[in-house]
Order: sequence, then structure tokens, then C-alpha cells
Amino acid sequence: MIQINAVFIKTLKELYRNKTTIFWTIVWPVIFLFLGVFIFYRGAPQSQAPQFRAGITVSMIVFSLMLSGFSTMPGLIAIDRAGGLFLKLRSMPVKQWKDILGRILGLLFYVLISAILIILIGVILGARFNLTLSGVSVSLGFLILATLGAAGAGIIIGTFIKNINGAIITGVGISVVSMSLAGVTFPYSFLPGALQAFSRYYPFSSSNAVISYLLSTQEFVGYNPMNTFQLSFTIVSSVLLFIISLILYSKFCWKAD
Amino acid sequence: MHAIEVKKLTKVYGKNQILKDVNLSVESGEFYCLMGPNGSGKTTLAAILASVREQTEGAVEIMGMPPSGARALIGYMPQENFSSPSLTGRENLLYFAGLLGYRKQKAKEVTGDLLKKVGLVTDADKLVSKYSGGMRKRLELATILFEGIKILILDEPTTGLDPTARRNFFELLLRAGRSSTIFLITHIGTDAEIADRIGLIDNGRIAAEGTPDELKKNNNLRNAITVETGIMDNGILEILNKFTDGQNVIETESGYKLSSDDISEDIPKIIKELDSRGFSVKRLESTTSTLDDVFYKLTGRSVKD
Repeated sequence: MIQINAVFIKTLKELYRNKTTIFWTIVWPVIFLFLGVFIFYRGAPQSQAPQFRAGITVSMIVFSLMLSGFSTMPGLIAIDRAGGLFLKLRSMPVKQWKDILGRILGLLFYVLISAILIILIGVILGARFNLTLSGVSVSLGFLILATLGAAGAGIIIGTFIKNINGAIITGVGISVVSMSLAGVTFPYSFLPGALQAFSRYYPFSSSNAVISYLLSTQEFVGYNPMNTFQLSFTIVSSVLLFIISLILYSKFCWKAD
Repeated sequence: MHAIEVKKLTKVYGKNQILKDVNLSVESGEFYCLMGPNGSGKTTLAAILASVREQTEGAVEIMGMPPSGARALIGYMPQENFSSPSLTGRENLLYFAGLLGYRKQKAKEVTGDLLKKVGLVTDADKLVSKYSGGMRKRLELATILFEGIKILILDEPTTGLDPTARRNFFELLLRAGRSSTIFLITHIGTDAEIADRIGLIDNGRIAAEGTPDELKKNNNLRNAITVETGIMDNGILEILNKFTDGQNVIETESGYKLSSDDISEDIPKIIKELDSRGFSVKRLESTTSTLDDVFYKLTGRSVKD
């Protein structure tokens, strides 16, 4: 526990002391939230405007967590590798799983704090959420699930792409392109048929849809994601991505040869 | 029991044999330096000792255990700057204290002591990104000085430092780490001179081993003194013969040349004695043989290659 806590604190400090990370994962989603509320969704039905704003807020939280997981996580891993930290850790009585668990918990905490900030600004901008105990609990579960999945994707990128810039840019590229293709940042109804199918089963857009459905309205989501197959697929694929990333990290990331 | 024992160690990467049948042992408390040029296999050997890499063949024991079982006893300082630039010096040490299992209060006490040891108390709460290269190396040295660490393995710890920072680093190492066994990797002869014993490695093999003086003597490399008096006289020769370390005094075109065991002690005595016999010294020059010279003599290549 002491080792995990040491890595957790280091990760958290590194995240909060990096102005670029703060900008792209907190400030930028907030700017998009303003754009969404005042420009992109201006034509939404007046009666449902508060729910639509809640939906935009949720999308921006998913946007933030995807960027954090896909690009910040591999960036931190690549920096530590370039600095020789993994060689140092390998020579110490430290287990790989404790190191990665500390990193993931650090990212999770960062994402949760970012989510709270984005929600607060969303509320100030007029977002109104459907707050039921079950809805909030399931939403929190899917938020954590999506974060673990995004962290998993980032860990895989960081494990295999050793160059710092390469790791960060690959993460940004995959997250931004996939978010666009899956309709995280714009309405599901705008997507062509094939991409709508992708959106339903891409774990991050699917989690986004579930949380938005529970906390805002089905009209914002564009479909009902609460079917057994989609929910199961989202949970299994996110967990699988996360587990695979842990295995790959433990096997390859600390490798010296 | 030796602190470090390596027997018939071989390391192969693909088709390249990096280490070839290496044997060496380091006593507990000894300062051993492995010196060799880039690509000679010294970093690989250090990494195997630190349990970062595994050997292909042969046996390695740290305090009687395989390196992977002795991690709690090993303090490894790789070449790279592994401290986090986003954290302060103190936070970096607290991180490593946590990894070593220290609880919060004890970690604070221990890191405070370590910061004192490496002379970083006043800069402890500055971000490492603001540190000079020398300060960062001192901080990283502190990570291998935690209680319980018995074997310090340092891989070219002064790479990129200026001569003053290098000297400061080694003074600190000798002061703070002298109770431990030290295994230093370097390609700089003057850095190696401070070790108790040196192994010269070339092309994956240990070419020679010994104290700095032994290595120089065994290879007929001695410190030399050249004396110019303006005249050639048997009286001068008689005086100089008293100071030579057994080798003949050589007559040169303008004076004499002799080898000496201790230049700093012999030079003032030679001047004094020549003066007392009425011989004035026009020019006196000393040349000190270095471990770089030894390496060159043994391998035919420069250690800086």
C-alpha cells in the first residue's frame, strides 16, 4: 500500500504541475462546453435545454478523460522510460503491478476532480442533471470504467511507443479521431449508419451515451443505450482493454533489453 | 563471502557477445571501479549486477544471493537522470522512500537526513527542473544512500558534469557512501584513480585488475621527472640516482630524466639537494602516468574511443 501511495502521489503531482495537461484536459473541454451551450446546441428545444446542457457536460467529461488516458498516461510513461526510471525501479524491491496501480489511481483521481470542475461549470451554464441514486451510481461506475479503459489504451501506447512526443501524439491522434468517429463531441444522429454502430460499441462513446442517458435525456443521446448487449459489451471491452494493458505493461514496459 | 562475485559471466545480444567469460570479485566495503571505453560491456555488467538485466551464462552473487534476491541491498544509479523534474528534491526522495516501504513520518525524517548528507537542504523544496546537473546527480546519489542499502552501483554518474561538479560528486560519494561497497563504472581515468581497485574492461573482457599503482607499475608506466641544469655532471647523476625508483636515470640532450614513485615528495627534495651542492635547476618538469595510459598500453586503444 505504501508503494502504491508513493506512485499515486507522484503521478498526481506530475499531472497537476503540467500546465499543458491542465489546459487540454480541463480548460479545453470547458471552452468546448461554452461553445456547445452557446453555439452548437443553441437550436435545441427550449424545454429540454437544461438536459441538453447536462448532456454536453457529460460529453466534455468523457472528452477530458479520454485525452487524459490516451495521451497523458503514455506521456508520463515515456518520460519515465527516457529518464531511466524503469531501470532504477527494476533494481529496487518494487512490483510492476504496484507501480501501474499507483499510476492508474493517480489518473482516476485526476479525472474525477476534472469531472467535478466541468460539472460545476456546466451547472453554472444552466445544465440540470437527473439525479437519482441509481442513475448517479451507475454513471459513476461507467465513468470509472471509461477511465480505466482510456488508461489501458494509454498504457498500451506508452508501453510500445518509446519516444515521448511519439507516445503523446499517438494518444492524442487516436483519441481525437476515435471521439469524432464515434460521435462523442457531436450528435449521434449526425453519424452515418456504420459509424452509429461503431459509436454503440466503442467503449468510450458507449459509456458516454449511458451516462448522458441516465443524467440528461434520451433526446440528447439519440438512442437508448440501456440494452443488455451494449452494456455487457461496453463493460467487458473496457475491462479487457484494462487487463491487457496491465499484462503488456508488466511484461514489456520495465524490460531493459 | 564477497560483496559481489561474478564467475564466467557471458552476455549475448543477438549475434553480439557483449561480455565474455568475466570473472571478478569485490570485497565488502571495497571501492571497485570498472573502467573501459564506450561499448566495452561495462554498463551491461553493472545492469546485471543491479538485477536490471539477466546474464546469458555464468553466475552472479550479491552478498551470497542472486541479484534479483538482493534488490533491497542494492542501490543502483543508472546513467540517465531518473529523478522527476516536476517534483521537488524532497518529493523525489519521499517517492523513493515510499517505494522502499518507509511510512510517512519515518520517510520525512530519513529524507531530511539524506538531503543534509548530499548538501541539498536549502534547495530541497525547489523543483528538480530548476536544479543544476551537479545538484541533480547529488539528489540521485541520495536515492542509493537509504538505510539498508549495502552495495552502491553507479553507472557513469558524472556524465555531463564539469570537472568541479565531478570532483564535488566524488568527494560526496567518498564521504557519504564509504561504509558501503561501491561499484563504479567510468571511462574517465582520473575518476577511477580514487577507487581501491580497478578493473579495466575491453571488448567484454577484463583486461587487467589491480590498484591504480599496481596497474601502472605492472605495465611499466611510472611518473617521470625531467631535470635541466645546463651542465652534465656526475654529481648531479649521483643525487638523482638516490630518488629514482630502481630504474636508471636517463641522460637526455639537455638534462636528466628519472622515474619516481612520489613526485610531490621527491621534487622539493631534488631541488633542495641540487641547490645545496651548488647545482642550479633551469627547468624541472613532471609527467604523471594515468590509467588512460595503462589502458592504452594494454589494449592499443584509447579509453575515450
